[in-house]
Amino acid sequence: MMILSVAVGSALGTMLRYLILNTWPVKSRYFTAVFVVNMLGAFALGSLTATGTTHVMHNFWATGVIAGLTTFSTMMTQSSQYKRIQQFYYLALQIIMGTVVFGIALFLTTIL
Amino acid sequence: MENSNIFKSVFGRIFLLKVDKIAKIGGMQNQKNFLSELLVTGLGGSIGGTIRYELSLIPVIGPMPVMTILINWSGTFLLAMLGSYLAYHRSRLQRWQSFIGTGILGGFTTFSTMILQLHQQLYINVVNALIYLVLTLGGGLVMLKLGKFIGRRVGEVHV
Repeated sequence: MMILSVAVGSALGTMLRYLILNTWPVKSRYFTAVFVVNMLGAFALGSLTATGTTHVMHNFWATGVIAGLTTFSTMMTQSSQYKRIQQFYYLALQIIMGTVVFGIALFLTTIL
Repeated sequence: MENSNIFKSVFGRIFLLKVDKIAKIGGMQNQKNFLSELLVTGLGGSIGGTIRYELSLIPVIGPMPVMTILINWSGTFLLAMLGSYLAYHRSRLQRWQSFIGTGILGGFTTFSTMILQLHQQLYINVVNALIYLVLTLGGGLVMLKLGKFIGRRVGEVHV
């Protein structure tokens, strides 16, 4: 049952990521569709973590949808197209912004 | 009868127009079978997510989440290898790139869990978090280079 919920959640998250990757209109070096997807996932996981991890649907949302939505491998392979310093900026921006967004979501959900 | 036909054609025209507009925004004019591609990618994502869930159940000694690091490394390696292989070698895998690359490998690796565990390591110790970050990113870069190299070698051999 756990595996089924994770599989369905991952399928939903991956389909959402595919849609966003194919329809993201902004042509920028740093604010790519992968960036958007990862920030969305970081925000969602932050607010989900603040609400507690004992919920029945936690595996569906956290391990399924959100972890399927975000991606590490596409981020790395996309960063390899840049020059070295731009690659460093790209990865650093994603990691730092991801941490900040996660913290903000954690904070907001704890307060509200 | 005529009315229903007119209604159908008008409705269909509006719907098609909308679909065309959406496709033009995303630059998807060339993708005729967009919906099937979407469903196939979702299937790949469910496969990758299930493998990730099964791997994350393996117990690890120590506070460092080694399994997430290994998952991200292997996913990066395989995706870099696939991309490099397809760049140097025309094969039937070209049509399966969104299934394997975006679906299985993209659903297999995860960014959000990494950020969550980075926060957990930060609560334990700052040094732990730094080690985790350097391991993930540095190892990921090494895996990227290695995967590109191996994919190019394999692709060039079969030309």
